[in-house]
Amino acid sequence: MAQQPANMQQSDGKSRRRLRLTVTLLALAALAVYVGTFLQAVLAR
Amino acid sequence: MSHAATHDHHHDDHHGAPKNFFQRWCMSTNHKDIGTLYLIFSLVMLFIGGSFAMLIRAELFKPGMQLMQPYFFNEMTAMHALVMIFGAIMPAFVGLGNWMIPLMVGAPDMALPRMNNLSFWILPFAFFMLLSTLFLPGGAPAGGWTMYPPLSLQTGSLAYAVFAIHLMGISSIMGAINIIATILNMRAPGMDLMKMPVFVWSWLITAFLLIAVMPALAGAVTMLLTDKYFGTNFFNPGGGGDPVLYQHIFWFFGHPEVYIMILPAFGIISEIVPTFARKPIFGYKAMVFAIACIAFLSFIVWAHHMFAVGLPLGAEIFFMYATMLISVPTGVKVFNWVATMWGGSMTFETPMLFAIAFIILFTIGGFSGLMMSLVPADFQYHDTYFIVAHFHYVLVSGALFAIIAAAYYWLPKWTGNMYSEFWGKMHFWNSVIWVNVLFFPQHFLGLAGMPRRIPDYNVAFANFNMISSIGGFLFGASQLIFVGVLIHCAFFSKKKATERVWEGAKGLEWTVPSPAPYHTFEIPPVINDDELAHGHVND
Repeated sequence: MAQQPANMQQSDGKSRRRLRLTVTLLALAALAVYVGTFLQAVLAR
Repeated sequence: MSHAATHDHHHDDHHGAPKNFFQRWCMSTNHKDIGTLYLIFSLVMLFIGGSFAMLIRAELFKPGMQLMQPYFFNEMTAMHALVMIFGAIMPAFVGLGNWMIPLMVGAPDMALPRMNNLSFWILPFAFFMLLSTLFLPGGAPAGGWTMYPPLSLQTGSLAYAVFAIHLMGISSIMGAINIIATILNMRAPGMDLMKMPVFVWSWLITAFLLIAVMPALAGAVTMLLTDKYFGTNFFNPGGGGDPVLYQHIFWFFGHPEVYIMILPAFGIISEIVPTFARKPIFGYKAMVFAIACIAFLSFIVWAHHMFAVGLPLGAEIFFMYATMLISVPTGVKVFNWVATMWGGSMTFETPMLFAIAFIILFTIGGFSGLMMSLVPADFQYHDTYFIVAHFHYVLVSGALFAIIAAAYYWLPKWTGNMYSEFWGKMHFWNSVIWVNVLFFPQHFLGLAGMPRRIPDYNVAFANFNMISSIGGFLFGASQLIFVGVLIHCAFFSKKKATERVWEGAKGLEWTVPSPAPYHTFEIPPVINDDELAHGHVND
C-alpha cells in the first residue's frame, strides 16, 4: 500500500507544516483563478 | 562534500515492487511506476491522435471529397488536437517529470504519492469519455480544440467533452501541485535551487503556469456548459453576452498552454546537449532566467491569437511588441545550446540527434511565429495552413522530438538495457526527413491562401497537399520503429546499461544503478558539486 517517502517519515513537524502550507496555497491559487474567471466574465459585461 | 553524490544502494531495494499486478499498477504510489504509466498512456494517445491525423491527411491527399463526410472531418481535426495536446504531449512531460524529478533532486518519491496515483488514473477515464463522443448520437466536438462559441454550442456532445476537459484539468493541477511541493520541499540537503538541473527548473516554472491557467480553461468551458444547458448568456450576444470574451479567456489559458508544452522540452534539451557535448551547459543562470522570462511573457501575449477579431489598434500594437519580446529569451536559449556544443567533444547518439533536430526545427517554427506576431502580416496568415505549419513545427519537431529524445536518453536508466542505436538512428532519420516533407509544404499552402480546417480545397493546392500527405503517412509509419525500439529495449535487449550510461552524463540520476531500483534515495544522498551538472554555477 501507500509508501510514505522516507524524507517525510523522518521529517519533523516543521517540514510537514511547510508542505501542507505549500499545497494549501497552491490549491487556493488555482481556486482563485477559477472563481476569478467567472468574476471577470460577469464584470466584463 | 568529499565523497561522490552516490548513496548506499543496499538501502534501495530492501522492499521491492508489489508482486500483485493490480496492486502495483493500479494502486501504485511509486513515482517510477506512475511515471511509466503516464508514458505508456501518452504513447497510446499519440497513436490514437496520430490515426486521426492520418485520416485527415488521407482526405486531403487530393482535392474533392474522398473518404468521409465533412462533419466527420471536423470531428477529426478537433479530436486530433485535443488528444495530442491533453493526451499525448502533456502526460508525456508529466511522466518524464514523475520519473526524473525525484531522481534529479535526490528525493525518495513525489511529495504527495497518493495524489500522484489519482492524478494519473483520472486521465484514462477522461479520455474514455472524450473518445466515446465519437460513438454518441451528438457526435464528437467538431468546432476545433479551441471550442469557440457559438459553433461549439452547436456541435458534438458538449457536456461529455466539457466534463472530460474538467477531469484533465484537475489531473494537471494536482500533478502541478505535486511537482512544486516535491521540488520546494523534498530536495536533498545541499541541492540548492541554483544547482538543480535545468529540466527540474523548467518543470517548476511549468507547474506554476499550469496552476495559473488551467482553472481559466475550466471556467471558460463551464460557462459554455451553462450557456448551452442552463440558460446563461456569457457568450450569447442575444442575451447581452460576447463570444469574443470566450476567446480572451480561452487564449489567456491557451498561450501559456503552448509554453506548458515547450518549457519542459527546453529542459530536456538542456540536459541532453551538455551530456553529448561533454561540456557544462553554457550560461546556466541565463537558461533558468530565460525560462522564467518566457513564462512571464506568456501571460501578456494572448491576444496575438485574436488579431483578426477587431481589437483596438493600441491593443494590437501592445500584443505585437509583447509577442516579439518572447524571441529575446528564446534566442538566449538557442544561442546557449549552440554555445554549449561549440568546441565540445561531441558524439551523435540518438538522443543528441533528436536534440539537434529540435534546436533547428523548433527555431524554424519560432521564426514563423515571429512572422505572425506582425499584425498586418497576421491578417494574411490568419486561419491558413501557414499557422498549421507553424504550430506543428513547434509541437511535433519541437515538443514531440524532445520527448522522444528524452525517452532515448533515459531509457537505459529506466530499463537497465541499452536500446538499439542502429534502429534508434533509423527512427531519427525517418522522422526528421518525413516530418519536414509533412509540414514544410504547408507553409506554401498557407501563403497561397489555403484555409485550415477544410476537407476539400481548390485544385491549385493539390500538389503540395499530396506531398504533405505522403510525408504524413511515412512520418506516422516511422513511429512504429520507435515502438519496436522501446519493446526491444525493455524486454529483449542483451546489452546492459551501466550506472552512468552516457560518458558525459552528470547529475544525481546517474548515481543510482540501471535500472533505477524501485526505491531510491531513501537516505538522502550526499551532494558533491563535482557530480552535479550545474554544481559550480556560482564559481
